[in-house]
Amino acid sequence: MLIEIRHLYKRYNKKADFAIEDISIVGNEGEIIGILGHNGAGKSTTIKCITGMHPYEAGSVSIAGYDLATRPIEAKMNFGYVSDEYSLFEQMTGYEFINFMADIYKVKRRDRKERIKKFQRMLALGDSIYNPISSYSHGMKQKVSFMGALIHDPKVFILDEPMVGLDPHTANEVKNFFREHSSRGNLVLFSSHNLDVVEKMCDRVYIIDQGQILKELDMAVFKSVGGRLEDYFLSMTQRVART
Amino acid sequence: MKTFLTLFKYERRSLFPSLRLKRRPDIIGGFLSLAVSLLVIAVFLLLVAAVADSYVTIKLDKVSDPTARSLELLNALYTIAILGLAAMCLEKMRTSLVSFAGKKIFLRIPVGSGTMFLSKFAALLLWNYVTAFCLILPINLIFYHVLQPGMAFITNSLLVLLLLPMASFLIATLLLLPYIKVIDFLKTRYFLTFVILSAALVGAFFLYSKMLSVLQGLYETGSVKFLFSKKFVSVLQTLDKVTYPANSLARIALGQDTQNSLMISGGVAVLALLIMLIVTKKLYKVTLYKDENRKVKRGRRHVIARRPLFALMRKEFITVFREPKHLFSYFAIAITMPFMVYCCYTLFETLIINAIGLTFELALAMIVVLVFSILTNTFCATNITRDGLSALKAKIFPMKPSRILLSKVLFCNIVSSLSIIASVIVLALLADLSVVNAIIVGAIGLVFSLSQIFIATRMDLNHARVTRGPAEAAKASNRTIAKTITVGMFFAIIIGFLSLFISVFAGAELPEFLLGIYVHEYYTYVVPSVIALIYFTLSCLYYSLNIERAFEKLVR
Repeated sequence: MLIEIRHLYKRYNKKADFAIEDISIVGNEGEIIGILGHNGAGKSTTIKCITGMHPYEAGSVSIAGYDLATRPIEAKMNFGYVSDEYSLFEQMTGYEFINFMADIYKVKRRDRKERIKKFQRMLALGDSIYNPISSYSHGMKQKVSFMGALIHDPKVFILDEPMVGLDPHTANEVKNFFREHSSRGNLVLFSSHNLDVVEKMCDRVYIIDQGQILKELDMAVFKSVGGRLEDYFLSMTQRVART
Repeated sequence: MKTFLTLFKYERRSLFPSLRLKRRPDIIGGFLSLAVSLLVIAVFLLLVAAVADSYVTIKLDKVSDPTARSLELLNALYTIAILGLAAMCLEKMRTSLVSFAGKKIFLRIPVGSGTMFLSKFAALLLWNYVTAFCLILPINLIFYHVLQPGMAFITNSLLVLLLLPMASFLIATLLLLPYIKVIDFLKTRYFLTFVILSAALVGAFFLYSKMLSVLQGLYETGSVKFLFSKKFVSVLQTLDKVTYPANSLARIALGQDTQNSLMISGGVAVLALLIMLIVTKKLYKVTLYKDENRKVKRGRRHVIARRPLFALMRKEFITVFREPKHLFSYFAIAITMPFMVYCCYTLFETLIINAIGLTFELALAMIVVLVFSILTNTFCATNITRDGLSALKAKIFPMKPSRILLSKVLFCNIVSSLSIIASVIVLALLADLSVVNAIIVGAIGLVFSLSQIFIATRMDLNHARVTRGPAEAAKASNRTIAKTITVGMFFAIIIGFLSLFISVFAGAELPEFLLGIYVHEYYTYVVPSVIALIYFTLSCLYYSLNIERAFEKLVR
């Protein structure tokens, strides 16, 4: 198991309601997992707790067999994370940022050179990675975030709303990369409210609403019975809203 | 018109943010800012009063002409005010008209560029008027108090207040487009920006030290007549002939040649409005579509693998060195610190020698070095918040939080240590500080500076509000900066004054009411060192206690 989240609870202050409640997610080698939900459903909070960005009240997070609370360094070494708000050091050039991330994850010089070339080609970045990040468009920043998160070839690749701001060509390349990465025995976990992307890409989907997991779908089974994710998602989330 | 007023209201709010009522007012920060501002204003006004009093009584070829002297002096003051206001307004204009937040929103909403820029200009004009009011009114009141030019001066001053901001506004508007070009040129020329900022800081401090030496002369002689020579007066006379419209405004204030002066100043005001309209049209392309046409200088392509700690330190260097605001408030101050220390040391040394005929080189050097190290290290109170949202990125790094924070402390310590070492070397070489004393001051300065960095970093971590942009981050750090300065000043004063006190009694016994202890010479070294070490120990404890948990708590 590459990711194991058990009974995760998080609230932003002691008086507030839980932002997420009893979230449990399991991810295995070779899988692409989607977390699907409306805006404010708790997708980003879940992901931020998994990555250690946010502390959580109860539950456990384990990545590649390392508990995030007790073995944080080993756990963090095994995932790469692309946030929904590209938090980059804007004064650096894209190239400097990627090298900085490689230094942080102790990537060997030869490996980083190869990977930079590969991603440069895949994401159609060209020579613009030698420009300061502050001069980049949203899509460009997203691409550099990708490269920074993948430079250490993590076993678990976690993304929050990854397709936002990407041009169709790059979005397609990213989807292909998800498949390629998972086919090498790695795990891709991403959140989205884009039903189409989730339906096409994911092996398993967690539908989340009001901070709780409503349903875990095995997409192969779901598709085999002729299920349409859009209809299912809307009926599930509307039912919750009514109750 | 309604759109214009709505936009104007929005602009006015962003130009006068301090007028908004805050939920958690920063009382200490506000008090310190107010105290420092009042101190600077008071020193300036004191100087204006002293200069005015002495200057108008000067006799040229044994003839006194107070009316002509008043005119020359007022003209000089208005010229300085106009240029100062224009400089401030220029930077305000650039940030308000070019690098404004929500630029992309303005591209989308159905508001004409003319309306948008006019609303911005109108708000800037209002800002100019408010600032001019705060600057000119005290000058005119002091002038009235000292020279008693008659009641008409008060009513005429109102006319000056109405016309003077237009003159500075005209200069700022005329310089705006070239200024934008210069700033763009400097955008990726970091080293050149560093040199320019440092030179500007040296220049500003040089002028400030000159002002202090005038005050020193005032203190020693009771007047500033020593400053005025025939040459000085003739410079002011020449200025009076050429500095339009400051000379017209001075004439309006003093009721001389009012009609012509009003026409000139009024013409300047109309010209300012016309230029504003022309620049408004040019600005659309320069600002709104600027990012798309931006040329950038490419960075290096080679790969050097570094250890994570060094990579983090390098990241700190890059993010500070390539951001002009940070570059100014840290590197420029750090590199000019030796010059500032030298100026202050020599100035105060002369003052003390002239006052009591003695010198306390060790105590004085200690106070000056410690105070300037506090000034340099205030920047460390932004160690966490200045990264904005990127500060949170560090939470995913596979490193111990203490190590991540250590990189920030080490980076700051390298910069401030170099600055302190350079300062004591300058004092040892150029001033009369002995080598032994320089080493002692340097060592205490280094320990003190590291303590300041510890305190500032931890305070920022404890109170960090991780925000989206650097501007918000800077605001969030104000409270921490004020607290850091207060703590640092407390210990600097203790160390400095204990050192001074021991220097006075070195080699003698203390009075009976102070236990009558014999004060050995070496106490002058030992006591300040012990206090510095106590401060260091306390700061270390404060910094390291539950640091990992504090880092984990860091959220948006």
